[in-house]
Amino acid sequence: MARAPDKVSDLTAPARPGQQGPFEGYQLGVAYDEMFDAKGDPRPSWAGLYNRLSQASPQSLRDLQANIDRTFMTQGVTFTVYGHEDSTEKIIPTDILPRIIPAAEWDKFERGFKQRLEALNLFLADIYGDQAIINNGYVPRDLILGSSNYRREMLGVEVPHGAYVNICGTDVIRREDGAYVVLEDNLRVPSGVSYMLSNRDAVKRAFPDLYRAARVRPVESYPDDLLAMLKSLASEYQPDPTVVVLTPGVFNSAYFEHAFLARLMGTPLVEGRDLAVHDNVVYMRTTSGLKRVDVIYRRVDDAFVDPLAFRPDSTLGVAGLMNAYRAGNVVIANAPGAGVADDKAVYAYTPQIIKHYLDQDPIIDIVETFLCREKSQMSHVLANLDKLVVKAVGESGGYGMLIGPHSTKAQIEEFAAKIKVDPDNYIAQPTISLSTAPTYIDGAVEARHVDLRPFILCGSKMTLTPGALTRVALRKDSLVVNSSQGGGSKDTWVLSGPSDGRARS
Amino acid sequence: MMLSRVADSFYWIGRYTERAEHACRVLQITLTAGLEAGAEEAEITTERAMRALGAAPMAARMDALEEARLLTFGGKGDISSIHNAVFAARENARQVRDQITTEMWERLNRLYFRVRETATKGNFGQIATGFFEETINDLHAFKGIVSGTMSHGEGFHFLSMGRTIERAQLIVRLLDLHFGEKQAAIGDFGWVQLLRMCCGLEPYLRVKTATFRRDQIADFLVLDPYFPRSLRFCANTIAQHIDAVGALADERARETCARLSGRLAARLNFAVLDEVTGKNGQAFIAQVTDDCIAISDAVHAAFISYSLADRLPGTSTLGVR
Repeated sequence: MARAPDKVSDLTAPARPGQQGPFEGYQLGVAYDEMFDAKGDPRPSWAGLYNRLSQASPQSLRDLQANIDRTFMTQGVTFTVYGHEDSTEKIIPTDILPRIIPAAEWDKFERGFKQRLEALNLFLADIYGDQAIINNGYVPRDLILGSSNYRREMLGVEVPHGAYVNICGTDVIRREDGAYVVLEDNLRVPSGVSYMLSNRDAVKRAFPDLYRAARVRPVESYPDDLLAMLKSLASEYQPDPTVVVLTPGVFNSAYFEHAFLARLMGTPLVEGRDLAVHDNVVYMRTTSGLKRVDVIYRRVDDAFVDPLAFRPDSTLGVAGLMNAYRAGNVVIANAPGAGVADDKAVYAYTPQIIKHYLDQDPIIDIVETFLCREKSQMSHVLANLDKLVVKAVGESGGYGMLIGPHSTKAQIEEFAAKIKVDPDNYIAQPTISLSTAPTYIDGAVEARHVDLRPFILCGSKMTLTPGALTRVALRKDSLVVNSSQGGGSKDTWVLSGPSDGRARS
Repeated sequence: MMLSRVADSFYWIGRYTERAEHACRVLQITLTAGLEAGAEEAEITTERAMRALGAAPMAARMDALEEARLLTFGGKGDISSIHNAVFAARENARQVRDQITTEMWERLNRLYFRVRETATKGNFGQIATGFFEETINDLHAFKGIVSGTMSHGEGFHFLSMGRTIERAQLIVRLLDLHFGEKQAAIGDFGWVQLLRMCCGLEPYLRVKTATFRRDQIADFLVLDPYFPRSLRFCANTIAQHIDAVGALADERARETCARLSGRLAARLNFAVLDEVTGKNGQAFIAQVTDDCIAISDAVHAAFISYSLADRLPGTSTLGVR
């Protein structure tokens, strides 16, 4: 016969979200919560952090957070906010509390991402080759050829290992039912990996015991993996290729990351003005004369890499680079033109793309997407603007979007007008309440919305780093996680599976 | 092998940190001068120091404290303040963030934030001395960190070369104001202040004892072989760094750098005191600045802004590996 819980156990009852105690300000809503299940019990993989937070004094958390902020500022882990005149460098606020992903979830993830990137690379090879998928009518011709990210110069160019996308940072969110869905592919110059590494460094030191006990998979080898991948791109003709990182310069918002990666890989960090092309060979200017460059990890948008091929007003690139590339004398990663596949409208076709090239069902879903270019879908969008998120196809970083439920009537009408003028430029998706995770806010632990950006490398082989950048919307109830709009970041702990654990202990 | 742009940034990190350190020291000594000497003597010293840092002659000047504040934190568009030197050093370090050690970066970054924060405070008169002292200490620490954490390869030599070229020119400027013909007679106090501004009072006492005579001071600050801020020591240091990086440049360019720096070192190594203190002394000292500028230009031409056409493969006249 089961006994009703007695008074004593009531007194020592574990802290619950929303109840008096350490989680008093922690509100569970419709969103999936990473730490607590619907009943308010902590999920098993979060138990360690939960216990720690139940006992931690507000002051100790405050000290840890202040310590992290200071470290990041002195290390210069900063990004630049466009449109701020007074002080252009800011740190991305890093939350001390890690986000935890159990091993089983990650395994599925890994299969899903690899499947997705494999299909996207095949898709790019196709549209820059025979264009079968267009000719068969699976994807509208004008959607591809009319995309501002389509680079005609890439037609017929052979890319090492068929890998157009070498560095990929896919944005993933979690639906209310807990399922992970892809929100956006970042196939051009995805950033954020330096935060994955810096956050790990800082949070590991803040919770050393917890970190050890949780058996977190390490991410430290990312720069080595990146360098090995970049070298593999030139391996066919150069046993020891010279790799460089091409940055737009110190004024770029992600300059810190460019320097960070170059430093950890031990490769030169070059700007366009350091490079020169002669006889279709790329050189860099060094103190001992000109030295040949074999692989360029470019962090410059492809429209700017070569003023002769693309934007003629660009001073960030180097004249003649595309010709050197087409001649096979240098490799550019990611390949120019890869961005056509992360177009927000092409995104709607990715399940068909995976099905078409791999004859498999997607392992990770995408968010249901309405294309305003289709008449019927547009009228649905216009009728439901207050419930949908509308995004401009060519924008990123959280700019040019409308979040219906959080907008005023005037904003909605303004957007409706924009959509009618240029329907091709807009897509709409249902508002998904991103999952929430515990976040340190002003002395307390509260729930905030998060997304997830894991990083995949693809050269001669594909590697998914077991970790990610978790972005968090620090404003209460906000769903916008972009660093340019008040977002912060979190360390992401991917736990070892049972088998890994045995091998390690 | 290193990117030309990177070498250039290293060179300027050296120059700007030295400039900031020098300005801090000169201002610190100037602001405390009033405490030690009579009003008149202190005023003359202040006048010289301010001129050495690039301020206008006395008649056109304002209150010394306000002027010191401007030289420290700068007004609008002013590029020669300590604040701006530290900012420029940090910007150059940011440019080559991937090439310098984290320790170097953190020290410089912290210093920059401190300078920026202090600039917003009002009571300059009370905080100035402490600020200069801390900044000098930070910059000393920075030099130690450079020497202790960074590989003593090309970048190190470019940085050290920049620092030494800057140092020589700053010392020349001070000497020029103290040894010029039109200068009023300088008393013991004035000479002690000069030695302090060159960070050389204690080393001077060690070799020359506490007698302050014009020729002895000139002998020490220009021709001493061991004091790290004497012009002779600087010239030999510059020549060493040029030698170290020279192996990399092409032969013709290397030769120009080596000749110029060798000639400067030789002139100071084999000078006799009369040349420095005599009738043409001022010209002799001024020549050091001209040589430094020529060396600086030659280094730039050889390593940084060389013409591409000279170095392309196939244009083998000058031979590129």
